[in-house]
Amino acid sequence: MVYFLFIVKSALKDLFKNKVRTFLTSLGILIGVASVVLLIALGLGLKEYIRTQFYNLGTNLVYVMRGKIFTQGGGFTGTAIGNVKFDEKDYLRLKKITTTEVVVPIFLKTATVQGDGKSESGNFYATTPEIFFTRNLEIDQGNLFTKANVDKKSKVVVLGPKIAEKLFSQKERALNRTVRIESQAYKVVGVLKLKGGGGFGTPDFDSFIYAPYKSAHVFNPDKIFTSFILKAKDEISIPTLKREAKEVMLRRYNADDISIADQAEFINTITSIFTALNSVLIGIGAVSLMVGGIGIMNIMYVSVTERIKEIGIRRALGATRRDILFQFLAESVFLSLIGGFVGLGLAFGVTLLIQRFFPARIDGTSMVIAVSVSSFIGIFFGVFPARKAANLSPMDAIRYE
Amino acid sequence: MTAIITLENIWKEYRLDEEVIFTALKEINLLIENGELMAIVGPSGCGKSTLMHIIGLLDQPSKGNIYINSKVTSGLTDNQLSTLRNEFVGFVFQQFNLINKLTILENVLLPAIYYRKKIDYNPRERALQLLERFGLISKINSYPNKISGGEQQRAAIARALIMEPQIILADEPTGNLDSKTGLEIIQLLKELNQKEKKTVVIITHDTEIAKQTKRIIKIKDGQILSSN
Repeated sequence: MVYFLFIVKSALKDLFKNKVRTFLTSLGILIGVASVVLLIALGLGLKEYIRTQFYNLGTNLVYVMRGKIFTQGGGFTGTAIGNVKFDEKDYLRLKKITTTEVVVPIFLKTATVQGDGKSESGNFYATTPEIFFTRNLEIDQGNLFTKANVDKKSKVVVLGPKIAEKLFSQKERALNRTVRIESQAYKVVGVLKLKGGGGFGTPDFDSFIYAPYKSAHVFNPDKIFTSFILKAKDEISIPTLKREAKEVMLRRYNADDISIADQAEFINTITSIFTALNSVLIGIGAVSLMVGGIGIMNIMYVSVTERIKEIGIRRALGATRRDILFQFLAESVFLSLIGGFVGLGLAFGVTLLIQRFFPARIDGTSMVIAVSVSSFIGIFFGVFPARKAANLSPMDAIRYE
Repeated sequence: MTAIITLENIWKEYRLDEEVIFTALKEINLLIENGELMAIVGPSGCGKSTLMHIIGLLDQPSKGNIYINSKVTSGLTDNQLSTLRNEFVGFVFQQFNLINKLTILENVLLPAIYYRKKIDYNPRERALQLLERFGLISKINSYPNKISGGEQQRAAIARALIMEPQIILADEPTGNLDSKTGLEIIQLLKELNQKEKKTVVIITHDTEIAKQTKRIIKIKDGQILSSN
C-alpha cells in the first residue's frame, strides 16, 4: 500500500511539476475523449429521441404498407411504394383479424392547403377517426371528425396545431373556417393539441391535416389506401397480429410487394443507420486519441532522457527494473487519465449546452469507455518509454550527466 | 574480523570499437573486512569509480568473482542484485545525488520504499532519528536545492543508513564541499565506523582524506599498486 501510494504520489508530483507540459501533452487525449464521449452522447440522445417520437405516436402498432420498405441488410430500400393498390376489400379483411383492436386505413398525399389568404404545403391524411386514438392525438379546439362524417363524405378537416397557426396566425381562429385543399373546400372542425417532435427526420404530426377518407375520393378516384395501421391488443399479440395481417394480405399480393412492420422494426432500422453514421464519427474522434497517445509516448521518452540520472540513483538505492517501469507507466497513465477526465468534464459541459437544442445524453457506459480508453492509451503508449527507462544500466544511468 | 566483500581476480573491460578494448580494471584482488574504514585512492581515470561500482553491485565485472558475505554474486538476477544493493550497501556520492523533487525526508525514506520484505522498525521514525542526529530535523520538508551542500551530503548519508547496510561506499564524498564541511563529513563517516562498526570505504583522489582511514588501497591504471 505504501509502495502504491508512493508510486501514485511520485507520478502526480512529476506531472504537476511541469503543469504546462502536462496540460499540452494530455490535450490530445482531452480532445479525443471529449469528442468521442460527445458523439456517443449525441448518438444516444438521437436514438432515444427517435424512440420516444415513435412511441408517442401510439403503442403496439403494426403498419401495412405498399412495396418493400426494408432491405435485407437492415436499411430502407428508398423505393417503397411499388405498384400495389390497397382498397376497401383489404380494409374489411384486415378488420376481421381478431388480434387487432382497430384498423386505420390511410390515404396519404402531399397537398397544398390554402386558408385566410395563405398557402401551406402539408401531409393530407384521408382516414377514419381511429387515427386519433391509435396515435394518441388529442383535440385542443372544436371536435374530432366522426364515423358519421366518414360515411356522409363530409368535407371536414382536423388540423395539426402548427399548420393551423401558420394559416390563421392563431390556432383558435382556425375553427369553423374554410380551407381549400387543391380547390376543394373543407370546413375546419377541430385543431389538435401540440404533440411536439418532428425533428431529425421524424414525422411532424403537428403539421398534418386529417379528413374523413371517403371525403377525399375526389383526389383519389381509384379509392385506394396507401397504408393501414393496425393496433394490437397488447405487446405480446404484435407477432401474431403481424402474422395474421400477412396471411390476409398475401391472399391478394406478393410478399415482395408489401411490407408489414411494427414500430420496433422502424426504430431499429432508423437507429442502425444513425449508429453506423455515429460509429464513423466516433472513429474519427478515436484518431485524435491515437494522436494524443503518440504525444504521450513522445513526452514520456523526453522525460526518460531528462531523468536518466534519477533512474540511476533509484536503481543504486535498490529499485528494480519493475519499480522503474511502474513509475513511468504510472506517469503516462495519469497523464492520459488527466486528459480523459478533463475531456469527460468538457463533454459534460458541452452536452449540457447543446441539450437546449439537440437531444444528447451521457450515460455510464460513455464514462466507463472514457476512463478505460484513457488508461489503455496511457499503458499502451507509456510502456515503450517505461521499458526504456527500466532497461537502463544502473551504472550508465548514475554516471549520466 | 570476517570478510564481507571479496574481489577475486576482477577485470573490467570496455569495447570501444570492433578492435579497441579499454581495460579499466585488471586483476583486482581485494578483501574488505567487516568494520573496516578504508580508502581507495588514485588519480582521475585510474579506475577507482569503476571499482566502486563493482563493489556496490551497480556494474558487473568482465571477469572474476565478487563474494558478499562469502556468497558469489555472479549469476544473480537483476532483481536479486537490486535487493542486495538495497539491503547491503549504502551509497554516498560526490554530487550527493538526492532527488530534487522529493523532500529531504522522502529522499531518506526512498530505499525503504523499494524494500519488499517486512521491516522490523518504523522507517519514518528511523529517518527522523537520523535526520535529527545529523542536524537536519528542521529541513525534513525542504527540497535538496534549498539546502547547503554540507546539509545535502548529510542527508545523503542518512539515506545511506536508513536500511542499516553493512557497508557504506562513499565516492569522493567531499568533492563538492569546502574543506571545513568536507572535514565534517569525513568525521561523520569515521564516527559511523567507530561507534556503529559500519564498514566504510571512501573512494578519493585526496591523499589527506585517505590518511584519515585505517587502510589505503592505491590504484593506478586499473591495478592495485599497494595496500597497507
